[in-house]
Amino acid sequence: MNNILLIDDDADDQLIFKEAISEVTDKVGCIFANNGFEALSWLIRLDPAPSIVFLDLNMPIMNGFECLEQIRKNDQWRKIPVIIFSTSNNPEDKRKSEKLGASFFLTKTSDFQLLKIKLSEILQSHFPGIELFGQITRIK
Amino acid sequence: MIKESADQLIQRITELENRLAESEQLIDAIRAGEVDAFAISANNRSEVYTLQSGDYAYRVLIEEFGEGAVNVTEDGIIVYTNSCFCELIGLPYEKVIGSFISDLIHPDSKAAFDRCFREALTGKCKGEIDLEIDARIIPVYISLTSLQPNLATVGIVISDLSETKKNEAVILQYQKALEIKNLELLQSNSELASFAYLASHDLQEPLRKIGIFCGRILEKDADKFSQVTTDYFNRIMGASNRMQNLIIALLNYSRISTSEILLTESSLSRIAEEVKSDLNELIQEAKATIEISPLPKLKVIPLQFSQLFSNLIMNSLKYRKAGTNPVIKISAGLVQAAAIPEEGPSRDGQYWRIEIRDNGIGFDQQYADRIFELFQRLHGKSEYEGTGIGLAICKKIVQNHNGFISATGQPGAGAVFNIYLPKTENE
Repeated sequence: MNNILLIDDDADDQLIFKEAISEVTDKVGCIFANNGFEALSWLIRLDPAPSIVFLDLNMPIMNGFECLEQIRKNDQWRKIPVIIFSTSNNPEDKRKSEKLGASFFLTKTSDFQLLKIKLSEILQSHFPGIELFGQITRIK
Repeated sequence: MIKESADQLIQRITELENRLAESEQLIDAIRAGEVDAFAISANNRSEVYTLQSGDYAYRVLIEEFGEGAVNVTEDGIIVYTNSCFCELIGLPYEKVIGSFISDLIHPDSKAAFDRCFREALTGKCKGEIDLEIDARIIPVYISLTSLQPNLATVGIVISDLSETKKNEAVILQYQKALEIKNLELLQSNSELASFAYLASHDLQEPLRKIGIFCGRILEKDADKFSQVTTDYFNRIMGASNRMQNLIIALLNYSRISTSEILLTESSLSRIAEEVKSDLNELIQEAKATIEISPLPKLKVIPLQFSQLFSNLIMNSLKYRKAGTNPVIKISAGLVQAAAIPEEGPSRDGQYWRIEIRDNGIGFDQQYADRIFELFQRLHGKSEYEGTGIGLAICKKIVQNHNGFISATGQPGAGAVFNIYLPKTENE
């Protein structure tokens, strides 16, 4: 089972994310952390480490940038792809997270279908040959 | 007879010698300034002008020229004053004459005055000092000139600076008040901008949730709802979408106002071409032609300029004329500030003018300023979608570049947007 870690303080977003993943595939397990600090304590305990980290930026205690910095500093976690999952569409946030080593920027959307499409694309590119529930198309 | 004549001659010679000596004494006295007269040496003889007539003009001048004037001996005793000076210090003529000038000078100015006075004994000196008479302080400008060799005195012209100083103080007060106001304005501006940014960012969140959960309900349980309920849900989603678009646009606008201004020399032609290719899909869809004439290389904020072109092109595409293929022409040129037909502060030097001209529906010229204002729309929402922020962003971007933007149009005859940017030396 492939594990992915979502670091987000927003309970609604955690629910939306979980539902989206569960409607895309049952071959991926989701772990949730409420802030960067909690995520780091998860990372230390998890073996194997999660295959992908989805990271919100605006969080209490330890925000996304600080957390990304810590992940990139650690030899064991350095190679984990980190995808920024944020409402921000600020180019400066994008640039900063790229500089800190984020692999992709996924903007939070109000379109559930679009989220599912984006997540299937991401999962397919990270887990080649992964079984999905089907081709997801956007309903207008 | 001869003897008598000789005695008489001797007597007359003695008489003449005495008169000569007297004359010489008189001339010396005139020269020393002890007698009011001029003695001028010319052609080996002295010519004496009594001042009864000659000095009249000068005395009147000195009295009437509106500044204080005194004549001071090397020891600092005032031997002459005009009435203007007496009025200035509020003392009668008799009290001023014969007094020490140093008694009229404020203790803090004494050192400066002494230095100036010593300098003036052999030349000239000017400066500002304070007088003090009966605890009344009078700021003055003094101009000292040695009257040697004709007189062993120093002439001083004294100008009252009280009014000037008072005005200066008032101006200074206004200046300080203005500086404080400016600072407050800057502060509240930046507070407002960061408030707008934070507010719009946080406002977006609940809306996004409304949209996404409404969508989920429709997705999962649409079959359980009546047609009316489904319609209501769709309306809720539509409204929250519109509000989200508004907030995103507002966020963009506030970001343009707060972001740092980093100018980079950029080819506007390249930026415009890039925007054109980014908007390719929209352009194809509208069957539009975009002609970009050579544009200059200018120091701009590239991302902002790209947004500026993008917003203006999208504006022209949006307000295209039905049944006519849109043609948008972008060109540039240099103009003299004086030739810019734009009301506002007077400008000088040269300006770059970047023109975006379309053949769309145009607009009534009376709305030329309104279209650049935040949330101002000339058309109903049902006619044209939009937030009313696009052109406000354009205006803000041009202002960030110390320039200004104007629009001219006619209903049905297209619109012309002109961007004016001050030309710098190296451009």
